[in-house]
Amino acid sequence: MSALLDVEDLVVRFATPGGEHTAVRGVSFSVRAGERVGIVGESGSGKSVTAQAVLRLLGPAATVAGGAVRFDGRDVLAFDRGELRRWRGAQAAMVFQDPLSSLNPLVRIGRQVTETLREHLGLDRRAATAKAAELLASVGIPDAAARLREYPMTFSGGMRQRVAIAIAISCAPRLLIADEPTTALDVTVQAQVLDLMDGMTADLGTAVVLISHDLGVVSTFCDRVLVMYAGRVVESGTADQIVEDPRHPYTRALLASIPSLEGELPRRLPSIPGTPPQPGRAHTGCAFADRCPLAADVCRAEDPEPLELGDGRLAACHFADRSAG
Amino acid sequence: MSPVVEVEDLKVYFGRRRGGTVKSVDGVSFDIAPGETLGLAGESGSGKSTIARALLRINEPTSGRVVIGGRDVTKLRGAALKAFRRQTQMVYQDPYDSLDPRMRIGATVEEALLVRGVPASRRAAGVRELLDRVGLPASYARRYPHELSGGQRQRISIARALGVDPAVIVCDEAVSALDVSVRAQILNLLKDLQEEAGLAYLFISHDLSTMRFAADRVAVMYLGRLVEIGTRDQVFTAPRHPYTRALLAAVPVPGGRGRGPRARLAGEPPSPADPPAGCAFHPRCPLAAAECVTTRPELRRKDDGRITACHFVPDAPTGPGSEVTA
Repeated sequence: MSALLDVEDLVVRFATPGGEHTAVRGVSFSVRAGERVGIVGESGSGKSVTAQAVLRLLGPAATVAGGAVRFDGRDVLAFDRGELRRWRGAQAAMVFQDPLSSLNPLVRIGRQVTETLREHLGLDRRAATAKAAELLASVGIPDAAARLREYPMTFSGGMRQRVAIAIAISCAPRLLIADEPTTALDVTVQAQVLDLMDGMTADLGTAVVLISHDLGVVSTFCDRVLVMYAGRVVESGTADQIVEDPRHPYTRALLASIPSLEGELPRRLPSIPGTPPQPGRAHTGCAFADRCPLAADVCRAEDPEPLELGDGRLAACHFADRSAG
Repeated sequence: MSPVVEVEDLKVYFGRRRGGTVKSVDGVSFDIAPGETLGLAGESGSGKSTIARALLRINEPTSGRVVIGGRDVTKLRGAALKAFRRQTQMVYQDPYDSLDPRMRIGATVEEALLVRGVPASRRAAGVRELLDRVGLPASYARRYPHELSGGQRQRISIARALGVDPAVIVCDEAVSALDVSVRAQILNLLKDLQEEAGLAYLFISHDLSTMRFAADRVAVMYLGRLVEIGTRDQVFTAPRHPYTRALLAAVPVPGGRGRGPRARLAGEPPSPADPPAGCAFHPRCPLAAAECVTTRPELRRKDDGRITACHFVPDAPTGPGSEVTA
């Protein structure tokens, strides 16, 4: 079956005062219609840059230096302005960590919702306003019709994220990319927003790419999970495989370093020595080698290619076929 | 052993420009024993950071007592207050904001030694020792904050806090901004230092899995008041207050759930400027009854010895000790 989104060997470079650096180093993945794929990683792993590159939202300092992004078989990287405008919003939408970065603080909520509806669905003002009120009500905003006249600042963080989701799904997109959508929210509100995204995307059959540093959020929402480190996908598999039988030492260490909410606690948490590499710092061999308990000479010499482990699993580790032991 | 920190009926109210009062902290009592970590959990607006700042007299308590190391710090004035502020240390979420970017690491750490009155001749050695205790090479003394990673900067704030030789350190979301892999290192470091020096921590975090690892006892706040306090195992294994239960249920645990709704609570925490009458939690509480709307439940010792503020958890038989200060 062909994929809805197909990302192949994506490379993204940044121009910085200190020279050029590569933030995404050959990332490949695909998302089927209606599927939920999580991307988890720490700061500098390239997860957000990957999302921005897919939606062609990279800033001026960044360029896609290689690879392909196909949506429904069409070459997204070749879209002209018009094609991009028609595609974003209508077919592919994005939700960010801070809804204030996607909502204009000076424009009433109503206008921000109706803009998208009028542009993509060709509704007139009155029909768009009615539909906007309906949408806000459907994402759980009480007194929606009245609140259309308010500005984003009068909404709480959770409510703003609901509005951002309402706008994102207003045209029933086939793909939603959500970048840390609940990171700024309290845990009880996070649960509500995840439930909302769950229901909305299930009803519409929207595929979701959920990006988060939180393995709990990603693994409970997604069918499949990619783990990124230093600009590469180091492991991918179903959410259950990743959580129950991680094959990359980085994934294993990441899971072990999260204190559990039940059961015995160790006196010391298993931790990963060192820090994630600075984006763009050149290295030979595996980027995780410096911090890896399994590192051997081969790891410092050769960057491991993703290894097929069967069941559609991949891990980029010279020792990935060795069991967790 | 007498507690290092005793907080008694602490209230911190803020006046609002448009009139009215925000009761950010409204009658909170707890204590912390030497070598103990008390965790303060709760969502934004619950008042946990205000408690931290009131302890260090950054926010003025409206009423109540805060006794640190046997001294009532709410009564300090003038030079004594200034000295107290320099001697009490807090580790913040973003060390970048709390470290002077123009000062070398060595000078930042040395300042703490100066406060303690360490003579100049012994300060360089003192700085090296402090860096060593937080796991950094002595050569870092010559670096500036921007040359360090987030985890290393947090180690520096911890070194600076240790420099004044405190009995208690307040950690306000101290590991929240760190990457998961680095967070574990800092949590381990805090534990090691605690065992070494008998330090007490007031550990504030919105992250409950971090809290479970770090805290010996946990106090849960909702809208300026404690709703439950108990040992870590009590609170995490058998929470009594419906808010604590909902909070724990909302945490996404890796591999921890099948498909199905996550949220146990509707709505968001109300504004502390306009708290609901009765039990502040009643508009979101699955158990709320008429009594909860009219009468605020006090923090009481319950039939099973647990301390919580809920009408639906039966009180302990009345008698001496049923009124509690946690």
